[in-house]
Amino acid sequence: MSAVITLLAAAILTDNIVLSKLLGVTEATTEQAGLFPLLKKCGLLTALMLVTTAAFYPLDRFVLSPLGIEYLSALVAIIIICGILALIFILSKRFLPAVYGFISRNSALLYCSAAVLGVCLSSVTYDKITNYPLALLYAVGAGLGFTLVSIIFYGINYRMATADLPDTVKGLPISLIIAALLSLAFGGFAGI
Amino acid sequence: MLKVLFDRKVYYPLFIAAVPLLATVCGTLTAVAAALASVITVTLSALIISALKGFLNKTTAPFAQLVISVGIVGILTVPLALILPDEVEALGIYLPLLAVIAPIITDYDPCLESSAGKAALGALIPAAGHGVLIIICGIIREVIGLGSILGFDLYTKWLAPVAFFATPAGGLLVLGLLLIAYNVIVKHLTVKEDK
Repeated sequence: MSAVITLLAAAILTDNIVLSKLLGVTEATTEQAGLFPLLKKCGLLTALMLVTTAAFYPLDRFVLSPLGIEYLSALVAIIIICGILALIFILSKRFLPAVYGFISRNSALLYCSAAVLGVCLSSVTYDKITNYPLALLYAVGAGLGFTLVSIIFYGINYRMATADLPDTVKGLPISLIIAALLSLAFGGFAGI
Repeated sequence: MLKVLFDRKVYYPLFIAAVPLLATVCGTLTAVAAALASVITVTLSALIISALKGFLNKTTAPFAQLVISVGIVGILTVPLALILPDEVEALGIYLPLLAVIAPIITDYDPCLESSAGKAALGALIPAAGHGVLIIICGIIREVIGLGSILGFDLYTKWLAPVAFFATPAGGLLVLGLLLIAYNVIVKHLTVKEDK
């Protein structure tokens, strides 16, 4: 039980995918149309992290590692991500048109997300993950950590929209600096 | 030609693409390894996309580049590990992540409409800009955060380095400040040009 809680706390706080590993920083910091669309986007990303890790972890543990071809893990992970997304596109177009519309609007985010690929690859290299259920838990925790940071940045962007900032600082520069300060703050959780 | 450097649509993606690598690039040599891998991956993948332009369009090209880039990085890791073994080990999973960085930097118009040479040049220039940016970040972080350059001590006998700059948070701060400095330079030069 303590391993589960430690892993979850690490994935959400101390080894946060956005603020510690710097994966998905621009996806988490960009302005969103509202809180509900943001939560839908984060939910989709978390689900994708979970499904791709569920498919990738056993392949790496039982095929790539025993054969000594771990150097193909990134290629396999990318193919799994593209394959799962293609499957989601086909099924949602057939059975859930509203979901299909949402997914196709966010397709670039899903395919080119460093966070999704990073979670897949981290699930086999992270020292706290020793079995399959912990790998799935890590994927969920990483998604929750991404959601937490996205919600924090939603509030920050809301306040910054009315702030009087110079043109040279508005947008990406100030988002990077705020992400740096947040990363420093989250580093304080390492002492827990 | 220089006006391209003033366009936010050109240089902002380079800064965005540099963000993931800052988690591990806190030394000059690690930055050089990452920059080299980035330039070779982006240029070669753009060349292959250009060769396959008959089968691809603007929608499918990024996905094809994802798969091609990860293959190139996988092959590139072997010689890079021979030249800079410690740096490649330090980069870890961030080297394969160049595959998702490549579609951010690449402009698909020259790849899909021009010859292979123009496509390679069109990809080489932003990739080189991205590489230079990573190296600058690596140098600044190593000098201020570790007090050394290329592994040689600079001032640690007299002053303690600011360890914050060796952390991922420090990398984000360095990148943010570099972007602000670049915006100020661009604003100053465009105002001068308008006059």
